[in-house]
Amino acid sequence: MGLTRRQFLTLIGGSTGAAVLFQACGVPPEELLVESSYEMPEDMVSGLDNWYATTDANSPVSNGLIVRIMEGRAKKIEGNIDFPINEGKHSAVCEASLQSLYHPDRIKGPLLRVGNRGEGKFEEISWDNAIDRLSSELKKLKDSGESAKMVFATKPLNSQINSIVSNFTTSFGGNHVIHEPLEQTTLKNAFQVIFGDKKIPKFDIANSDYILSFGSDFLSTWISPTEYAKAYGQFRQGNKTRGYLVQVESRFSSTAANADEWIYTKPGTEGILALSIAQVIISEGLADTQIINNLTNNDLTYLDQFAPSLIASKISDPSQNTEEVINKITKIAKELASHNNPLVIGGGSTAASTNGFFNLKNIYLLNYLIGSVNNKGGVILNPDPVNISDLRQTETSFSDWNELIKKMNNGDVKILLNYGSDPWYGLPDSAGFKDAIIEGNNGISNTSLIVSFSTIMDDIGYMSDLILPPHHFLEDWGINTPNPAPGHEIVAFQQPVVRPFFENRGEYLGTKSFPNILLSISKDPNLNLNTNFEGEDYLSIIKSKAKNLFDSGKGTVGLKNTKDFASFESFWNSVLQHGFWQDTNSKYKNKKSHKLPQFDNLIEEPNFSSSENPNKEFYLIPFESYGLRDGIGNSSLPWLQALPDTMSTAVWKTWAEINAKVAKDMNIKEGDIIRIASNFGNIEAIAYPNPGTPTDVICVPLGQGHLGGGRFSEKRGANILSILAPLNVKTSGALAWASTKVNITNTGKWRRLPKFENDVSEFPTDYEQHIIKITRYDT
Amino acid sequence: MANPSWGMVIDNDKCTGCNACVIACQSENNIPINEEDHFTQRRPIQWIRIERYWEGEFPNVKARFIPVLCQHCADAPCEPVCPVYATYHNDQGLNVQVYNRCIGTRFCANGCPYQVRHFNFWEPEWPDSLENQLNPDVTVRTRGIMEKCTFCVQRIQRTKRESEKNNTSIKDGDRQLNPACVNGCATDALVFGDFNNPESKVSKMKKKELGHGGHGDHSDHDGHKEHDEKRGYHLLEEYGTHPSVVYLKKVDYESKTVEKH
Amino acid sequence: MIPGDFQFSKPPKNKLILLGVLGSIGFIVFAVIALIATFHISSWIDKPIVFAGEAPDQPIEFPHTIHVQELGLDCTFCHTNVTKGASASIPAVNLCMSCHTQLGDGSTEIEKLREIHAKKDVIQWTRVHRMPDHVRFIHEAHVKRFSGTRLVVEKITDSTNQIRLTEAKTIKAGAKIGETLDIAASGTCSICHGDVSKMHKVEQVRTLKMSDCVDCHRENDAPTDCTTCHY
Repeated sequence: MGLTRRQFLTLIGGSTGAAVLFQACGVPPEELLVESSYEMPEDMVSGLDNWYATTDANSPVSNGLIVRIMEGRAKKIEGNIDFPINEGKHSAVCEASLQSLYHPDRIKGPLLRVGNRGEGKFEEISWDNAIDRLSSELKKLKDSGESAKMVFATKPLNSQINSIVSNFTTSFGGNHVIHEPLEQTTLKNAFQVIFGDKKIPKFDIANSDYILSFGSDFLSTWISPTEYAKAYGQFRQGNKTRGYLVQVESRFSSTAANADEWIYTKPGTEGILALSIAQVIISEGLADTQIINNLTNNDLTYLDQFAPSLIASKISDPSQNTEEVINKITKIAKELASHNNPLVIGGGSTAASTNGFFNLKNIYLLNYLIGSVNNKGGVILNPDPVNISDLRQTETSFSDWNELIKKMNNGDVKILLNYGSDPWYGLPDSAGFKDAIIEGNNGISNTSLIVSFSTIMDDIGYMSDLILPPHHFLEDWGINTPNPAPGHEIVAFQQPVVRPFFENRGEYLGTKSFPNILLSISKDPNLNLNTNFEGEDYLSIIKSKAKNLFDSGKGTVGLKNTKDFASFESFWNSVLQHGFWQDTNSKYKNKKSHKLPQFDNLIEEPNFSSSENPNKEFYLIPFESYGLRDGIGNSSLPWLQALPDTMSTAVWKTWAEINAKVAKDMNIKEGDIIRIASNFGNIEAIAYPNPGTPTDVICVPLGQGHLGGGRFSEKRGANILSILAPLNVKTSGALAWASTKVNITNTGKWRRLPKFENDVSEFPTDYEQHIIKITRYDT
Repeated sequence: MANPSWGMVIDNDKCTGCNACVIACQSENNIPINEEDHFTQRRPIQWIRIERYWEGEFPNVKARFIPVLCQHCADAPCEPVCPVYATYHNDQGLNVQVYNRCIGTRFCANGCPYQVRHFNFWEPEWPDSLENQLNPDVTVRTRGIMEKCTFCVQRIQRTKRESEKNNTSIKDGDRQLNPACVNGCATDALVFGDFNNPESKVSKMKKKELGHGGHGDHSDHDGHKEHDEKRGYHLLEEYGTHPSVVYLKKVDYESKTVEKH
Repeated sequence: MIPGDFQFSKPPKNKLILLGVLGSIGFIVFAVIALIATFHISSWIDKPIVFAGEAPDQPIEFPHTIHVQELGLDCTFCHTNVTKGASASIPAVNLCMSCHTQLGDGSTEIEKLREIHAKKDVIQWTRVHRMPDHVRFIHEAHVKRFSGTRLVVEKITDSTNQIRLTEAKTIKAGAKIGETLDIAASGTCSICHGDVSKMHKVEQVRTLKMSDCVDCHRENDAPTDCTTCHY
């Protein structure tokens, strides 16, 4: 019968059975479409893929990446194998930036607030309208002679964007400030004092044979974890003796778990331990006499007050055997001095006590004592960034923010612009930023306009009056100087690897390049800004910077010397192809002006905020989990939310790590919702008792408790930053985020903690059959 | 030339338990988003996972990490139990899961001692635009079928095709060939290659750490007597599954007070 | 009454009739469903997946007859990616317009094309050959395998245009065994796609079901491991 299958199905389409069958067996109509596009660039051919080099602009580390592009879409991110920092490796955070590119809740065009501030009601407006609004508000401010009342807050930027923002802000007369929740101000100040240079040095972990690390979770989150983890592989099983890692930390972090030895110290006492180690090395004469004299001002005895026997009880937990602690300190000091390529690093919670600067200073001074500065396997100081631009690092500490908030309350901040940072989320409630935005002193906020350049409706976006969505970093140009650099000069280039995702919404909607927005505002003749940008748009500025590199004739791109390129065009193409320019011959030059500091002669005790019940209080140690980090940007991405935390394997929620024995005594079991209360607020978190957490410490991850951030992060968990005490680190003014004491109460509520642990039953655990076989060497 | 026998060497001494491999796998292989409920119901899908084991208690506590993925066993317990031959061993040493054949009996998951087979209890969903990221080289699995690590067979096939086209042999350690987890592993704890090629890195490591004769050449922590113990072992090797993944023991220094095993 | 014994009272007549009617309706419904199911299942067994023997209408009528048979264009002229990658690729509108800015005035179909080009729009064709998601078909590998060999057709059955190949690789160019296929363009394409040059509307000529693939793979010593196509 001349009946085709399709005709037959059409005929019986009315019958339910056939409809069901057709549903089950048919092909979805969208799969039967095949398009002839208007043009067919190489990227759009189906079935072909291309890898493009670019740079991770999300973090100051600026890892080199390659992105797989297929049919015009980014499919996979991997590390750029030639890039000297991450050497072909990438972190989970880099990988997950694909999800921020294609996030279902990404802002599709400029938004204007229509409800009350903080209500979250917005309507879409056109770019012309949005930029007009911003320009006219800026103009009003300028005309009234109050241009100092404009504040531009950004995340730390190592890119050309930083100089554009600074240039824009200063030429207007405003104030460029930086915000990140766990700021590195203290660390950078310590580097300035000790090494005479604010830049983060390269830690030569790969070539080291003994690492003493204080509080820095460098395998997971600290500064440049991908680079350090790559080096750690070499440190462990490279072409040399297996290195030995000692981690001194108040939390059992993933670095502590991987260390050969973990030493618990009470929060904030790491500097005392460092002094004690120095005392042993000096009193035993294990270091170079000249160096000892330099570091102690020729006085060998004042350090005796830090002898292990005198400070052991100060730094350790009462449950620990003092004798053992003394032996450990002496052993470490001797081992440190006897190794050829030792390295001492410190940071993280160590830097976040009120005496953080004291801690870091004495910790990093050990590097001079053992002769590991600019030594193989030690601290390699980085040369100054190549003079391609003014990539100055603006610095803003927590105390600066306190000043700023005071100004906001007094009406001295009228316009707040924000790019990449989230002070609403990242500042403790006690700092008063939230009140300043919502109410101010007189019931209405004195900050009349908050503009946020957010790709997603983050917390500060919720509070904004105008949202101007910028391109994703995979859609935009860029030029970055990685910090820390790999021991020589390097410039990383960022290129748009995909067309802007909302390009098809036309030029009045969709997203725009953030620097280009600023450039176009600065050209507004009404504003009369004298910005002196080196180009009409961002790309031309970047090209002019690249031209400077080309003209300098120094360095290489790929395997080719810069001076061997025939023209700038071929240099430019090669730079985009390889993703970076570097000059491996450049080395750190000693600064004559730098005077080596000496070990402190007085113990600086850490201060802690008190809690309501001092008899049952815990040290609160907030920490970054490998996936969410400080929670700004990352928590909206489902991959990172669902990524098991290294130690607890918990996902999607805010949990609290507590010692198993202590928890048992307090009648807390896993899944119990506990209230963590400081004098500045309280949050609820799910208890995760485990054998690794020290008895007097409670550890809570950052990253949750967002007001916004799209469907995957909204109103999920609690924000531990909100209950921190507003304490400063002495000297640097940074937020001392590890100096809050808290009380814990069981709320009596319970919910299953979502975690990976026990999702598959454990393998047999008796020793011989143990899943992880261990070669044990006795010491 | 003989068929390749793909395999992996995992160095537990290098693994930091960071989970970067998990995300790399998720993104390469179109693994659905593991929602919160999936974890509380103990049904998340992770082709490679990091297991964490506690040892001791504070202050003498240690934590051990081990990445576990499909071991591609030569005598796989999952293969004979499949009633529809949806899983079998191919001539390249891969334990293959054929999605379009699978009827979801889950017998194989029960048979697997490594628990690396995952069942799609839900229809996988990628909200709105997130599906733009999906890898076109990998099938999107539907509800009701079993899935597991493939050693990124799409990359293997692709490299094979390209090498045939260009008349070259497959390069050992080629990044196009390496599974996504290997490329993502920052510490290089995972190494992938062909065990049938004696020149490959994995063969050499296997020979050195697992094979007979020769001595492990890693020297000890300073000042201690030399050890020539080989570090290689197979996961649950007493089950006789003959896995294609070789693990290398973690190295640990234990204080004198603890008896040495 | 003995325990366990049961009594059976004769049901009233109307109840019996109702039961009978319901029963027959049930049987008919079951039979219809079974018939439909049988038809469906049988079509899966011996009929192509969706469009075999059908030539769906396209938004713009593109006569391969004119372009291939009369003008002698090679398949790769438009389907440029067929020798490079997995997908054969559909040409961009720009490519069409490289000729049709001048040629073809007066034809309504070409007016449609020009209109689309002027609007910088896309043409949404209806797919004729479709592989399900779990199949990886690599055009490049197949084209490479068969290029340079003369393709000989055993027979073309009238009903489904089934083409069977024999010993395709052993036959040298110029040899004549059986009936040679009239290959207008890159000969290899017509093995699976049929003689597209003679199609006014493109239709699917082979079932392109797994048995079809596997038969050909076996005949040509191609790998039949599942991971060749499924991953």
